[in-house]
Amino acid sequence: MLGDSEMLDDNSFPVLLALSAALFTIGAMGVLVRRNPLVVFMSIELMLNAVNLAFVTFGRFLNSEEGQIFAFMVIVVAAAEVVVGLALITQVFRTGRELDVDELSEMKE
Amino acid sequence: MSVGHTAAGGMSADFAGTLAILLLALPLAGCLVNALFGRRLGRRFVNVVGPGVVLAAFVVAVVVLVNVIGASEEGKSTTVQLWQFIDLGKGNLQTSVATTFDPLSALMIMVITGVGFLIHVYSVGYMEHDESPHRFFSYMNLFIFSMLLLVLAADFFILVIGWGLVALSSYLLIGYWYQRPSAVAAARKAFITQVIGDVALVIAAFMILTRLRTFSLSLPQIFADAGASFDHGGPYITGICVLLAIAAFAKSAQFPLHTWLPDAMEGPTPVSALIHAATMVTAGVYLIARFHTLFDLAPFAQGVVACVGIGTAFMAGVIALSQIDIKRVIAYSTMSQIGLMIFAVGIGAYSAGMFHFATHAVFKALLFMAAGNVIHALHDEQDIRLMGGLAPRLKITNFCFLVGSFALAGIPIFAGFFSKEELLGFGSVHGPLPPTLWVVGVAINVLTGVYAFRLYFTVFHGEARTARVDAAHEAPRSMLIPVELLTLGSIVVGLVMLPALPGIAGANTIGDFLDPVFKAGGAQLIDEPGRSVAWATLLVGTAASFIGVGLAYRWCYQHRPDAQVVASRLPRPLTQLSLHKFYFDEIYDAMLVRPTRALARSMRRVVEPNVMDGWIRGIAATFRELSLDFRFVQTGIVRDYAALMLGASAVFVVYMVVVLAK
Amino acid sequence: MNSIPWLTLVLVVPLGTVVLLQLVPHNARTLIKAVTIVGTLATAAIVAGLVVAFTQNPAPAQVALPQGGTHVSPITFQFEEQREWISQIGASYHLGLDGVSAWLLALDAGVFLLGALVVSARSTDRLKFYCGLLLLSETATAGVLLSVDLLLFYLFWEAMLIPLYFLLSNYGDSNRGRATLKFVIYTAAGSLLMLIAIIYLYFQSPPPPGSSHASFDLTALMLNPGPAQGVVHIPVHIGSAINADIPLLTPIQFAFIAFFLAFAIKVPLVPFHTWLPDSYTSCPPAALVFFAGIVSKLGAFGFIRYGLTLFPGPVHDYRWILEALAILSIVYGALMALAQVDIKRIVAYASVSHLGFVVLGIFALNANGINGAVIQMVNHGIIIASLFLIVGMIEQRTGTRDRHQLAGLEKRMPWLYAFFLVVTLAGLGMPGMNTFVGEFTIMLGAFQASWILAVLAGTGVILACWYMLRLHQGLMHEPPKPATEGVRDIGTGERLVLVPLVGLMVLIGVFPRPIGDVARSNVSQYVTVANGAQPVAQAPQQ
Repeated sequence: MLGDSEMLDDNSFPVLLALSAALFTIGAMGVLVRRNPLVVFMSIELMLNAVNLAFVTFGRFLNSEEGQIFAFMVIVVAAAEVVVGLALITQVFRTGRELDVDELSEMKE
Repeated sequence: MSVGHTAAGGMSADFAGTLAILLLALPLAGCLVNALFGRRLGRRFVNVVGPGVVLAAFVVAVVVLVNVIGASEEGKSTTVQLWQFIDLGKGNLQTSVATTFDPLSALMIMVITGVGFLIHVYSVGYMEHDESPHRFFSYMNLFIFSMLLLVLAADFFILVIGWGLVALSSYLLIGYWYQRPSAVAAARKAFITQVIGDVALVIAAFMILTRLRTFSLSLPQIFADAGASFDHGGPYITGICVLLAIAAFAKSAQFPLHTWLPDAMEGPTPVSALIHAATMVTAGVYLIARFHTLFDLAPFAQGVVACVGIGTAFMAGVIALSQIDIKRVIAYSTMSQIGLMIFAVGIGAYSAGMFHFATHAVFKALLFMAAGNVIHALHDEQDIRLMGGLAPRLKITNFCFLVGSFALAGIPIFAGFFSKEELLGFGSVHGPLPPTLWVVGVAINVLTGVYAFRLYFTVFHGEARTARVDAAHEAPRSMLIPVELLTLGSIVVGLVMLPALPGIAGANTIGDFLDPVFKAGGAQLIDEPGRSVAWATLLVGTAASFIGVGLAYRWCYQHRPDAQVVASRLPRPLTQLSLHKFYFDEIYDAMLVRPTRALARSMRRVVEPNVMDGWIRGIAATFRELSLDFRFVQTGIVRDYAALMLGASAVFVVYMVVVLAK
Repeated sequence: MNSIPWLTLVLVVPLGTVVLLQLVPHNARTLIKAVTIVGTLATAAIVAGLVVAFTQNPAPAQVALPQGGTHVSPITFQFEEQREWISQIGASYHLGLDGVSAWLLALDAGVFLLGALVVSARSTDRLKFYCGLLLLSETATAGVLLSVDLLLFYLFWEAMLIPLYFLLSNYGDSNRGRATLKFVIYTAAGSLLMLIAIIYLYFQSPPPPGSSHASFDLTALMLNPGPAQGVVHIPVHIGSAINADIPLLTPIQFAFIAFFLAFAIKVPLVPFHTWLPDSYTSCPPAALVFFAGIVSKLGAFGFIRYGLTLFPGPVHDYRWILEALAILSIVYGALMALAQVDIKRIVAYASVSHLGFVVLGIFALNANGINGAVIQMVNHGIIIASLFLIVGMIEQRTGTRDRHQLAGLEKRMPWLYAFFLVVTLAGLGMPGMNTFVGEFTIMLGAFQASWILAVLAGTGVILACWYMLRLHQGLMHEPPKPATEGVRDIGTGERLVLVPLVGLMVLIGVFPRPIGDVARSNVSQYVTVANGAQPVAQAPQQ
């Protein structure tokens, strides 16, 4: 870890944040544009990981552990979310319906 | 137990307290026992308890009378405080249950329990076939209790309670035959009219209480402080007395609150005799006599009372000429006679007014009960056009009715003669614009003779107009004995005043008995008319009575025995007024009842939904409209929400960067 | 006496009974009823002891301040309890009983006992839930009467709404949805405004010496109202042409209006009354006994306990409006009662009219008026509960509430007739009955304030006589109609429920002294507080 730190100087801070922002935007676009729930799911994962990257980056440059702690929390929550989400998607798939988030609107009303 | 103020030579406070409690508790116990156990214990039991408690109360009343007569001049009045009713601290409402024995209340309780007992006995026979005698006697005993409470009260608050309870028992008894819609309506009308009087009385109490130096509702205290607290003839005391007079008019069926009395004849006949002739309706006269100290301070109010009294007496006399219901004719005559009493107390002739009350109680109860015998004999027929020729079939009743009619018309020897001539004598020299009102009084004498004997001749003489008359038979003993006793009373009671006739002895029996009440606190009594004036008015008044009887004899007996013969001889407008009872029912219906109902209905249909509920519904509707306007935002598609969220976040970030970074 | 926290017991016993109820299985209906009745009975016994032990002229109360030290309260409370609650903001668990709340507490315990009896006499679905809600309402209403701390008071005031909401929405008749919604929104709106005003008063009051924050205690707020503030202006600047300050009211006046709305809705005063007929007609019988019996009186109680003490200035400023609204309630309620066909609605509007008298008495601002209001609150609770019970019995037997379909019940139901007669007479203010004592005293107080008020209230008495008699006669007299053929009279159980109520009406009518004896010394304190602070409030008007 110490060796890695030499690779990161102050100049890499905005680069890492920009990368996080780019990943987040790509993920958000994916959520908004794509209809397949699996792809939407992957896009959400992308957004979560973009946030993770931002957390860790800030943690590193502000010299605090809280960033890492939150990143771990997000990972745990994301894992739980994937479990529930994938279970739902499989159930929908099993009923033989088309996998389209706009069509799956029975919960509405 | 009892705290009271007694002067030397009067009753002791404890003794008076015991008598008062006995007087009140006896009829109240009768009422409760009859109401709670009467149905189980049966008719015989009720028939004993009902009249029995009143008889016991009568015995107590006699003891009271003996003690009051025996008391020295200063000890005539005994006030006892039984218990503190409510105490809200000094300077606030403090009242107690207190009673007064004095000549005035003694006279009242004698009449109430005496005449009341006879009517109770009469009721045993009259209500023989009724299915709920326990209910009837319970109400009757309640009435006796209320009336005693009213006349014994030495505290304004208790007086109001008695005043109200009397109206309640009257209500219950008028509506006794509750399956008849007319009886139910009559009961309600009577009660509501009484409540108008109650409200006037209560406001009068407030006016007295708040202005009185001692802030007290105790009647002796009020009378003692009245002179120092109120300006003689000032507007405030006049207001109080007018309100008291309104209360009295409501109770005593005087213009303009008189319309309930004829309708009240829907009640059983003993009720009409007891409540709507002998006792309750005279409570107004009692009230004014009791508050004479205040009325003496307000000459204007006295004038109003005198004019209303004589006016009502005349109006009721005119109406009585054309009525065809036997009880209603007597009811209008009652209204007319009470008008004379009100006139008497209005001009300050308190003793004369109260004496007329006593004699009237006797002969009017007699007339009603005799009429009850007639109705009983004809199986509940009350229309005099269907009667006639009853004299040979109901011999005793015929005689008694005749005596009652003589007393009513004021024929010498009979009771009504003494009392009526006495008060008319005062009327010739006192009151507003003397002797104008006296002249009206003489006219009333003529009217009284005409309507009294129109009734007598139409009912008892001439041809029998229906088959029912032929089958009529005399009433049972229990109904005849009270009537006979009252017949005797109608002849005898007046004779106590024989010495008072001008030129005989000059001793005024009743006046000497009652006047200490009206002289208390140094009040001035009005002067008696001079000897020559007294003779003149006596002769003219008596002549008027004879003329009235003679006219009735000529028209209804000799000429053409027809119920409407009298009305047909009047001037046409007067006939119409008489037949339609001066249109009061119609006027009140159009001016008060209908507008109130219409107002209430419009409140329900228009104001409540649109105004009262409208403002709150308006607020609700506004929010509903707003939420409808923003409803398009909620598409139900998650991605729309997500896009919205992202967009908003982006705007927020840009704001942070651009604005806050400056 | 001081060792046992009696007032807390009054709150805890019903609450403990709720806990006890949870141990009882759902189908043990008899046991549920028994537990409920015992719980309310025990509460009633404690309250009876409290009222008997209430002394007329206790020593001035020393009230502990949150940060130590004591002060003398302008209102003397008895059986006081004061414990720390949320000391960080100066809210304490402060209970106390005065002559006004003592009688209302007695009424409260009485109507809930009655409600428990009525529940057991009728078959109700989900009985346990019902009984639990009843007991919760008892704790909440008693808490409103007992608390002396504004925050504690507000807590109970709001807590009252919850069981009532469930009772109305679960057990009401077919119109319950609409009725519940209206009731909840109306009262919640009023209470929220009051909360804002409570917070304003708290911040307005200067902290006692040695403390960093003020207190929510009523006595502390009474003594330390804070500096009077001037009128709030709304500046209006449009361009340079219009440049004006529109003067509104002082902050304390705003605060009073907020309190006023909360209480006026609860009472209810016209024009805040439209929730009442809907709620009362929809409410189930047992709940109606205490809903009508005590809840509406709490609004009037709030006027005395908080309106007069915290806002003497605004009360004087708006006195004529308050009195006019009271008169409006009396006359309007009576007219509406006259125009109704549904017998339950007649009673509901009669209630509006009668409560107008209570409010009139309070804002007469003298001892007669307020004593009369106390007497009349107790009377009204007894009468309105009985009236609704009787109307409920008639509806249960005939299946209709339409006045025009009912007649001639006297012959079929002599017992009910007798009870109804007494209740009717009490309702219309018959001299010798309890209402007369209350109305006479109130009208005397009103007369001392202004004669015109007494005269206008008098028209209400006459109208009351009209609609009450018409209701009674219409149902009882004349020949029976199809709906009333063959109905049975009330049974022994129903008679036993009505006997004590009717007995109280007569008893208070002939022996009202104890009420005045207990209430009068505290009432004179309220009158002093309400009138004494007048000059202070009028100072800042400039």
